[in-house]
Parts: sequence; C-alpha cells; structure tokens
Amino acid sequence: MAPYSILPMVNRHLVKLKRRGARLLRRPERGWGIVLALLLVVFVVIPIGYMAASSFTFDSWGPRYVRGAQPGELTTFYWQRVLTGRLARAIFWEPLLHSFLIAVLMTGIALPVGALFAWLVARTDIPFKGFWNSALIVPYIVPSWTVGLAWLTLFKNPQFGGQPGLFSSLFGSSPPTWLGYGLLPIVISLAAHYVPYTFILLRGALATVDAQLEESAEILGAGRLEVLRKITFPLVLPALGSAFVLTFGKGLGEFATQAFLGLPVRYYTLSTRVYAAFSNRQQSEGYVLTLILVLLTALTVFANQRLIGARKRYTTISGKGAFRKPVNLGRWRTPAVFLLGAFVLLFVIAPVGLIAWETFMKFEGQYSLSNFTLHYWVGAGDPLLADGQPGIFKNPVILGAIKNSVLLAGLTALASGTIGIMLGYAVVRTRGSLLSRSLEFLSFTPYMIPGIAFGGIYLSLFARSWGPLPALYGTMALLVVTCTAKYLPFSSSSGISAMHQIDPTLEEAAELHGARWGKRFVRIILPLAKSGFMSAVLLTLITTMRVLDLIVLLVTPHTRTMTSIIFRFQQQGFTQHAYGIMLLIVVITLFGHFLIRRLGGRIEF
Amino acid sequence: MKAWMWFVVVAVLGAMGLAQGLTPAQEAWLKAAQLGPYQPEVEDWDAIYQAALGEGKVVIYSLSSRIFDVVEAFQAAYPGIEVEAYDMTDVEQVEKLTREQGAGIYNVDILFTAGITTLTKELLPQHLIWNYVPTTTYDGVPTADVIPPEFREPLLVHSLEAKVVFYNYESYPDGCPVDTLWDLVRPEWRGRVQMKDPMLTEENMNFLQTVVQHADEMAFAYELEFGEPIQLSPGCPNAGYEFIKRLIENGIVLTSSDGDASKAVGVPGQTNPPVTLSVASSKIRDNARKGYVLAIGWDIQPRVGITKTNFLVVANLAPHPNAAKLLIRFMLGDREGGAGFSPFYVPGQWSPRTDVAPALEGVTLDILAERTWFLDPDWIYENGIEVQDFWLSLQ
Repeated sequence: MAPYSILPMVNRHLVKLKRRGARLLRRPERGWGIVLALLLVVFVVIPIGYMAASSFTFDSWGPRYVRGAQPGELTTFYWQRVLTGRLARAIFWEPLLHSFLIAVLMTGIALPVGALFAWLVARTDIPFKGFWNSALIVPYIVPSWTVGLAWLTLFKNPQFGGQPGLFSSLFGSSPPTWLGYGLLPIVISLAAHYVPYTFILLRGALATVDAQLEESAEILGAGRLEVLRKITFPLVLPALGSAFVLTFGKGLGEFATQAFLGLPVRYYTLSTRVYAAFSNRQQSEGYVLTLILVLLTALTVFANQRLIGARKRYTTISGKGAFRKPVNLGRWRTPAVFLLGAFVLLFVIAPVGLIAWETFMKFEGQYSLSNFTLHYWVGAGDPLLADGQPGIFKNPVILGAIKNSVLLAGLTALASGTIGIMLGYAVVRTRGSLLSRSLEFLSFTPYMIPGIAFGGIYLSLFARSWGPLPALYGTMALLVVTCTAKYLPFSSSSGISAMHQIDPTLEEAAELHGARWGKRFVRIILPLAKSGFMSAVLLTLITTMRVLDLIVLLVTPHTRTMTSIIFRFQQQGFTQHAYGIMLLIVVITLFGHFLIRRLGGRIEF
Repeated sequence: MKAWMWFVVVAVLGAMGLAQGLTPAQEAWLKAAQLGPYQPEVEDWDAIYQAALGEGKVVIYSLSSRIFDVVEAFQAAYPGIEVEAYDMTDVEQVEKLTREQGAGIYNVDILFTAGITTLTKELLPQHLIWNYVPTTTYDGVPTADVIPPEFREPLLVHSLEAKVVFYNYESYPDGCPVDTLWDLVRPEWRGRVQMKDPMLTEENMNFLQTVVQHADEMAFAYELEFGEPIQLSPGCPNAGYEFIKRLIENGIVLTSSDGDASKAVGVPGQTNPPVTLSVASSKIRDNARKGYVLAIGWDIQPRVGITKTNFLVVANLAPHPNAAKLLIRFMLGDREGGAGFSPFYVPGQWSPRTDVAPALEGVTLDILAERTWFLDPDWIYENGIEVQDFWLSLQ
C-alpha cells in the first residue's frame, strides 16, 4: 500500500483516540471504573481464583483422605465430598438449611426493627436523640456473642451446668432447652447484633430525604402511613437494599454466636462447618464451602440489583434547599420512647453492664460486694490473679495495642470509605453496564470469605513483592490493605446507595457551567454524599476495631491489636482483662462515632 | 483452566518435590548453624552466646501467651538478645510458617507448638522444621540423662498436658461419680457430658481416634463394668466406634472452648453438675484462680483421657539459629523448674524432665503414662480420617 494512504488512517485513529480521551476526561467514571475494576481484580479476583484453584487440588490433608494422593494434585474430591458424598448431608446440606433459616429469620427481624429505629431517630421529634444515636449502635460494637451470653444468663438450663440462668433461679423450673440453645436464641442474638447495620445505613439515607416531598403528600391528603409507604420507603429503598444484603450475608457467615449457642445442641451451620475446616487446616474443603457462601451472597446481591434496578429511580437530593421538619409523633411519642428504651435495656445495658460488672469482680461470677476490686483496671500485677498480668491501664502491651487498633481502624475506615464512594459513583453512573454489575458484585465477595482464610491468602499473595507492589510483610500497610479489601462491602454498598440518591442533573448543570470533573466531585458529589460516606466510615471503623481472625496471621508484635489480646486473655481465662478491653473498645468506638459526626458535620438535623 | 492456575499447581508441586531432598541453601544453613547432622557432640555455650549476640534477636511463635514471662527472664539472663514473641494457636503457626516459607520469607526461628501428627508426618519430612536437642541443659546436665528418648525424638518435647474428665468435687465429695468411660453413655449422664467440639480442635478428635485405636481396652472395660461382652451396633466395627456412637446418642454437649466446658462443671453451688470429656488438665488452675471446684477422675477405666505434647522445634532456615539454641535450652528449665520453665510449671502441665517433680502433687510422668493414652501420630495419620468421618456421619 502506498504510504500516503496510511496517513489519513492513522490520523483518523488519532482523532478517535483524542475524542475518546476527551470524553474520558469529561466523564471519567468509566475510566475510573476501569481503574477500580483493576484494583478489584488484584485484591479480590485473584484471591477468589486462588481459592477456586485450591478447591480442585489436594491440600496437606489429602494423603490422609486418599491414600497416595499428593498435595497439589488436581482433584474433584472435595467438591464431591461436600455436595454429593456420603457425608454431604452432615457437612453441607443440613448446615446450609440451618444457615438459610437463620439468615432469613434474623434479617426479617433486624431489617424492619433497624429501619423503624432509624426513622424514629432521624425523622421524628422523639426526645433524647443524642442518646439513641449512640446507644443504638452499641449492640454492633460489642462482639455478637455478648448478647448470647446475656441471653444465657436469663434462660440457661441447669442441665448445661455452670451458673443456672435467672429464669430457673426465679421460677424454680428449668426453661426448655430450645429457649436457651439453638435456632431461636441464635436468631434473636444475631438480629439484635445487626439492628445497628440497618439503623446506621438508613439513618444516613433518611437524613437526606427532603421533608417537602413528605409534606406535599400530606397536604394532598395522604395519611402518615401512606406517606411512609409511598414516599419515604421508595426513597430509601437503595439503602434498605444494601442493609438487606449486608445483614443477610452476615446471617449466613457469622461464626461466634452460631457456635456458642448452636454447638451445645449440635445445631450446625455452614459457617461453623467452614470455621471447623479452617481450624483444622482442611483448606480445600473450607474453600469449597466458602465458594458456595460467596455464590449465595452473589445471588442476594443480584436479587438486590434487580429489585433496585427494576424500580424507577428516585433521587432525594435535588440541590434545592431541603426543608427539614421532624414528624410529630403525637400520642405515639411515649410508646416509641418505651420501645427504644426496652431495646437499649435488653441489648445494650444488659450485656454491656454484665461485662462491666465482671471487670470489677476479683473472682469471676461472684456477685458480692466483698468481691469488688479495681485490680483489673489499675492494679499492679498480683501473681495470684490472672497470672500476675497488670491492670489494663498499667499494662504496656495493652496500651500499645490500643494505639495500633485505633490507627488500623482509622486508616482502614478512611481508605475504604474513599474507595467506597468512588465505587458507588462508578457503579451508579455506569448503571446497567457490565462494568457496573461486576464492580458491585466483586466488591461484595470478600465479605463472605472467612477472615482466617482471607488473611492466609493475602499472606501468600502479598507478603512478598509482586509486580509493582512492594513486599508488605510485617507492615501496618498489609493490615490496612487486607482490612480495606475485606470490609469494602460496607463502604461500597453505602457508597452505591448514597449515589443513588443524588440527582445527576446537579452534576450536569455544573458541567454546563464548565466545571471540571475533579471540581464537580469535590464540590458537589462529596458534600451531598457525606452522610452516606459517614455511615460507611462508621461501619468500617467499628468492624475494624473488632477484627481478629482476619489479621491474626499478619500481625507482628509491633502491630498487635486489642482484639488479639482479648482473644488470648479469654483463652488463658483472664476474663476480667478481656472484658475490660472490650469495654474500652466500646468507649473508643463511641468516641470515634462522636468525632465522625462532629467532623463530618451533623448527619441528622 | 487458566494458565496462571497451572502455574500455581506447578509451583506447589515443585515445592513438594524439592521438600524431599535438601536444597543447597538448607545444606549450607545446617552446616553454618551446626544443626541436624552437623550438631557437635559437645556444644560450646559461650561460643553459641557470642554468635547469638551477633544475631541480636530470636523470633518465636508460641501457643501460650505465658511466653511473655519467659521473654523477660531470658533477656535478663542473656543481655543483648531481643526476643520477638508471637502468640498463636498451633494451627495458625503452621499456617503462617508454610505460607511465609512458600513466599520465600524466613521470619521465625522457633515454633513452640503442638499438633504431633502434622508436625511429625508433614512438616518434619518436608524439612519445614528441624529437631534440635541441646546436648546439655541450662543447669549443665547432659540432656540425655534427664529427658527420656521418646521426648527427644523425633521432636523435642517442652511439656506435656493431659485432656481429661473433670468432675465437681463439691457435689461429689466421695470422688469421681464415673469410674469408667462407659458410665458416660448411661442414661443418668444424658446431656451431662461436655467437651469442646472435636471438629473445632484436632486434639479432641485425637481423643476419639485414640479411643478407637484402643478399642480392645474399651471392650475390656465394658465387660468389666457390665459383666458381659459388648454388643456392637450395625456400622460400628469395634468398641471404640460403639462408644462414640452411644456418646452422641446420649446427647453429649459440645462447646466452643475448653473453658466453657470446665466452667460448666467447675462452678460451685450446683446440685447436678455435668462432667467434662477431653478438657485440658491445666484448667485445674481455675480452682485457685476462679474458685472453681474441679477434680480429675484419674481412676476412670480404661483411661481418663489422652496426653498431648508441646514441642520446641527450629524453623527451616531460621535466621537466628544460635539465639534459638539458647532460648530452647533456657525454656527446658532446670531441675527446680527454673526461670525458663516456671510459667509452665503449673498443676496440670508436666516437664519431660525426669528430675523435675510434678507440679500436680503425686501425679508423676509414670502415672500419667499409665492413666492416659499417649497419642500415636502414625496410627492417627493412617486411620484418623475414618473416625472423623464416622463422627460426622452421626451428626
């Protein structure tokens, strides 16, 4: 071909590229989405691929199962064992049924209750708002089994030994076993633990709803319930959707409570089976079960996308001055206060009080005044108590761990909050595209991978330098990266629901006025998404404060966290120390909550 | 299958293949560290200390947080050597070690760990760990004189613990209410036997496996108790399996920790307390610490439980081998217990040293060997899965 005919072609391409580049600059969410997708490939897809590949190879236990098997050899043994083998019912199908039941029931309770609480606190004239705002998140700050512990204090059956429950002490008869252990207490404990999820997510979403919409409806003659159903509910539906996915996922995946209240009556769930596999290093079987959990969550994410996507999009943030007037509860005011008070009493004050009380007991479980001591808080070591472990505030190991926990939680919350908002922007603005769907799904998958497995995979993959990534072994950065990836679902889901609420015409208007993309994002999107952003930061902060098995393989003595110490102390039987640190976590987290609300401006009015 | 998956598979296979023979790096390291075949007959501890000073520190993964008490004592005894201690469960240690070494990171020097089957049947043959026995102890005695060979080979034992039946001595002042394991499957103990879920801890699965291994002893104990030979249910090949089956049918209560089970039994003021099965003997310390009323049913037929061993092993290509030698010798303690061993010199835990008096009065190592089963890793490695799957099939 003659050279002169090439030039126009090259030119045409160049022009095309230029145009594409300009478009990317003007509307960078696509390009941005691609960058995020690449990040997710590295930090999510590769670990998942690693799990998938490992689930088809013999692990170190392989030779014990199959004579002559070589670890690393390809096999479908584990999938067969789990899905169709002789033990499939015991290992998989029955636990699956139990998990599903727990997830459905506890979501069915936690979601409406949390939503009601959020509405009461964010939209009505209920008194003591500041108190409810803090108190209602506490059940999520304390470990999930503390509610279970409080429950057992009430309903324990003497057959199970130890201190009898209050019920049998008071009435002299044993409560039935099903009231103390099994499905019912698991569902109630977990529901109480995850009510704050919905509460936090919806509180942010409700705060941005323009009361004028509701008022107009009222003026047009709609009743209060009708307004809730036809106006408020559709507006916060995206946030409700993400709360659903998060809660349902936890119902499937949460371990501690299900073990604590389920094992005594041999009520096995998928998560107790997964945990058992990993705590025996039977990894391939663990990976098979985990992948199934991931798949199940994918289905809920998908269902959620369909539900939200099928509806007409309602944006609540229109840029017009929002008019906020609290709903007058009228005669419902007292019952509402009573309801919130009862919840706080049962699921906040009872468990936290029980824990707090315990820290002042010289000997565990002896409720007498002579047993009172401050030793576990400020005492110097006494060889007869807790093996001479000094009190919490005199203990350099604990003090160092406090610093680490706060640093880790702060950095993770910030990193994942930022990524979450960016993800939300990319997902919502490219809605309907493959990119959007895969971003949303990918950002959710780490949620279902058990911490110990996720941490192990990250140690294998990212401890040494890898392409452009430096070796992260032994650094705080590795912890932050791991936690950020694992807890991305919090921020991505609240990022997505926050973005759903923002009217795109605001940005378009700014664009018409020549505002660059960066400016638009910082000046328009960020301020408007603030309350969603804050919910994400808060959820991540709380969760990271409590993180344990995720990072246990990654911590070094210099990066020890509070929960790793709690875990050890509990194993050693230093209950008072363990509970004391737990209380500290509650106090520190509430302080963080307070700061976030101050720094971020008021989320509510 | 994607290309990179093949890469993973090949890499894993390659690592396995290499593990059989020694690499030049391992050979060189063993020689320089004077470990394995290169360990001298007489070790010059001054020279080792000098070399350790050059290394500056030693890193240990420990299954007990009591290691931190050892750290202080060690640093006082050997100034200039810093100890970096991590407390992790045995499974986490193996997980961390294999993943680190898989990524080419050599961070740790000593594992203070348990899990005899994994250690002797997997890590040792793959040379991920090495056995090291100091020639002399901290108080200058030849180690071979005070530690029996079975506690030196194939791996050095740091301490022993039993997993036992506890009962509440306040409610049963006349002694243990059960005198044979078979009592636990009687109707009066229905729902009143507690143990940590054996699927959550290999130790307890090892207990069940060991019961099956010694099925003949179980059969004999049955006949002793009931005066007639045992009738096996369909699907139960021997008396060990039969025991497991009846245990489950009798509503054994599974807990998520040893502590939950010992608490249920040990809290005073109960009228009809349960008993434990396969709970760590060192929980007896909660009598002093928490006012519990726990006692061990030593006379239970055929045995009260199992004995597990904690090991001190050197990690492959450990970066601070000389400091590791010092710390291992220090942790074995002296004939009085000693600063290096004192945190572990507690009732319910035993030193492998024959010259150290047991902390639990009257219960010597000999009595322990008589009243409990010691774990047999070969048997467990070969047959253990059958017992585990039998247990699962009954759920």
